[in-house]
Amino acid sequence: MEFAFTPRQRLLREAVREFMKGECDPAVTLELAKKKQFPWEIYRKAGQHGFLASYYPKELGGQGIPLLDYCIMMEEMIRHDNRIGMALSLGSIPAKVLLRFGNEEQKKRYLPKLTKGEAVSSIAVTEPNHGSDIRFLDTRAIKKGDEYILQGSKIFITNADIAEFYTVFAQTDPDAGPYRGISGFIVERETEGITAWDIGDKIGIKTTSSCIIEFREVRVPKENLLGKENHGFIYIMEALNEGRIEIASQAIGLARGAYDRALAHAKTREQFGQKIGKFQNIAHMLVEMSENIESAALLCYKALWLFDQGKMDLATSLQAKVKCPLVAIDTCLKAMQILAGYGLFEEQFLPGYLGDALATWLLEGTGQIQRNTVASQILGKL
Amino acid sequence: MDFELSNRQKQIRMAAREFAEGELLPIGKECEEKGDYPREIIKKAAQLGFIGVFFKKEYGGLGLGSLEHAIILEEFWRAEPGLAQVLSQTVFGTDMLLLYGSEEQKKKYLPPIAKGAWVSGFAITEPEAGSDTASASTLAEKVGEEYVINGSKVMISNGTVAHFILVYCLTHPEENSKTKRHSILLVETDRPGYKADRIHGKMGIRAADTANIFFNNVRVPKENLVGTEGNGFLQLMKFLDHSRAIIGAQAVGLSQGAFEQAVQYTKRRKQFGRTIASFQATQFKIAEMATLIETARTLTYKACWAIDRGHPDTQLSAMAKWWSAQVAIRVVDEALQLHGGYGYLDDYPIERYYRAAKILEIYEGTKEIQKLAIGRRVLGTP
Repeated sequence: MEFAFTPRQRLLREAVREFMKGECDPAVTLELAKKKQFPWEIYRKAGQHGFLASYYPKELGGQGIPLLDYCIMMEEMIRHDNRIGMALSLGSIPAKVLLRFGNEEQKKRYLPKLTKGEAVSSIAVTEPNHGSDIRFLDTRAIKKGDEYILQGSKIFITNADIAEFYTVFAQTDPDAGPYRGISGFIVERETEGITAWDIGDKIGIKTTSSCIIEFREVRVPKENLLGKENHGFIYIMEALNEGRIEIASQAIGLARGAYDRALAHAKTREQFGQKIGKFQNIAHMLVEMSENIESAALLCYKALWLFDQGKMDLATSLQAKVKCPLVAIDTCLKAMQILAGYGLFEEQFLPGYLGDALATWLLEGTGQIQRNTVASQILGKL
Repeated sequence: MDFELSNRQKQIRMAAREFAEGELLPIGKECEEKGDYPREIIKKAAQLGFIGVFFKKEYGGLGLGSLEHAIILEEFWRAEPGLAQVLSQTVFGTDMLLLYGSEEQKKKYLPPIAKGAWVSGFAITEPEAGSDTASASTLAEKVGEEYVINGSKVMISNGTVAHFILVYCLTHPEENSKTKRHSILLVETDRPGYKADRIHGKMGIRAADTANIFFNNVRVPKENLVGTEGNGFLQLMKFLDHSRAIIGAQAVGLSQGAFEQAVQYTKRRKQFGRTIASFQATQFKIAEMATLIETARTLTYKACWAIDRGHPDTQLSAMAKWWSAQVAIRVVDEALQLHGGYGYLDDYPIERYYRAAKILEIYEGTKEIQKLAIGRRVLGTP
């Protein structure tokens, strides 16, 4: 067992830290969050530095590094500035289905723009009546000649109002049994019949929108079908399971960020004539936060390491997706407690960290749904 | 709303405390070590009127309510949980007689219990029917004017010492509804075919009698039916509304006792040149324990209050039992922790409290079953 970061991992982390320090201005970040705007400027610069989707192969504009190395970078970005870091990482996660199941032509056409920071993508699965339950979808894709006609609506779709393209999932076979009638498509946002708009204020992930998309008789060429017809559910699951480890990494970054701020406060703030870190209650809270983060991070790294070995383990990945967000939420609450009154203000970033931590618990499958899957992995069929 | 106990209730508490500290505390450790069942102590408690206070006067009681019964047991459990369990289970099952028994049954069976001459029991659990009581298979067949009982029950309080046991029997196996198949029969333990083996090796409360019971063609006259034929399950549910609130009181008493020991110990014990009570970590623990106990006590009293008003509340009783037992487990754990290594030795009583506490989360419905009961009350049957 080897627990040390490789020299490359350390270098990448340093580089990202320097980049974030140089590029992020807290005042600008707060303004972006307030206006709910995507940080395009930093996103493009991060793309030029090779910090976006760096695990993509080189021919697709990536750096060809392992997912673990990429996640260490992402963790560091979010740790430094969650509003920016989350936006940077959420640009490419939605394109995972395309990366894993698209054909060469499709991948070459759409993916390099993501690594360069020129575009963001969205994945459109969730519908008003299908959240955790996606055995069937209400959005229909009907084949007509060389095209599919998309009809229906999607909800809570990250970045759908600014994305260059979506991977959309729709019911192609309405008579199929559960899970068996869904297909995936690549759909460009600027296609006739598509309307997408942000649906309002959220507690977290404020620099990325959450949209409704309406598809009114949208014509999609059959070349844009992802993989095989009616295999969509399997693609979603495979891609999500990989994306979920990234979500776990985001949560670790959030927890570390909140912890850093609490630690700094405890070392400087004085009450009753001493640094508040000298009070046992504060000290113990910090220790507990550190214990939680270290153990959750190890679980997350292990899941990533297994993935990079080509031995992705579903139970390990999903347990990381459950544990890390819970730790992040708890750490943020404790950090707010330590900063007391100050912790409640946006300027200290903690409300934002907490909001994003809640999002990591809910994004790409709620913790409860992950636990259902882990339970069936552990218990088998009963 | 009035949260103050009446003068009478306060006097009852003082008397119970005096008895518990004077009579139970001195012999508790020895009884626990030897597993002796102390019959004398039951007689003494009965002479002072502590047994069956909630029986009407014509049945030998004091005509008081569940709340007074709860206060007495709370004080017993505070001083000495092991012997308190002996005195708690002395009347176990009598609520069933009070609720559903005939006038003759009440007059015949309750007064000797209030006098301390007899103890009762209630046999529900079977090897294959724990939480799932509706699966109980101990069979009672009606033959002429008698019932003939065959089967076995496990982990039954007072099995070897009770004068009579109420037995939850299967009388209508052909009935479609699982909740209409059972009836409750009163079985005197001197009837031929009744056999009870005391169980040894319990984790705690070792002085209390617990037995496995076997019925081999045990005949009882039809007058021994308690309530209505086929109504056993529903009667049991109503009964549990009463008994579960009382478990809450036991848990509150145990918590209070453990808590007071922790307070005393931390004020005396010195480390790093000061009492450990002067450390913030200790103070916060004590504060948390005190708050938890207060919530458990208030909830338990409210559940008892509902019973005494003639409106037992399934949800409140289940909440009182689950929450108070959980509080007991947490409080006793922290109390032992504060004793450090000494807490682990039997020089201090705290380890006995620790061992006694766990049963509170198990008997008369595990904590999981309590949560089911609460969930169903809140949500209806989804």
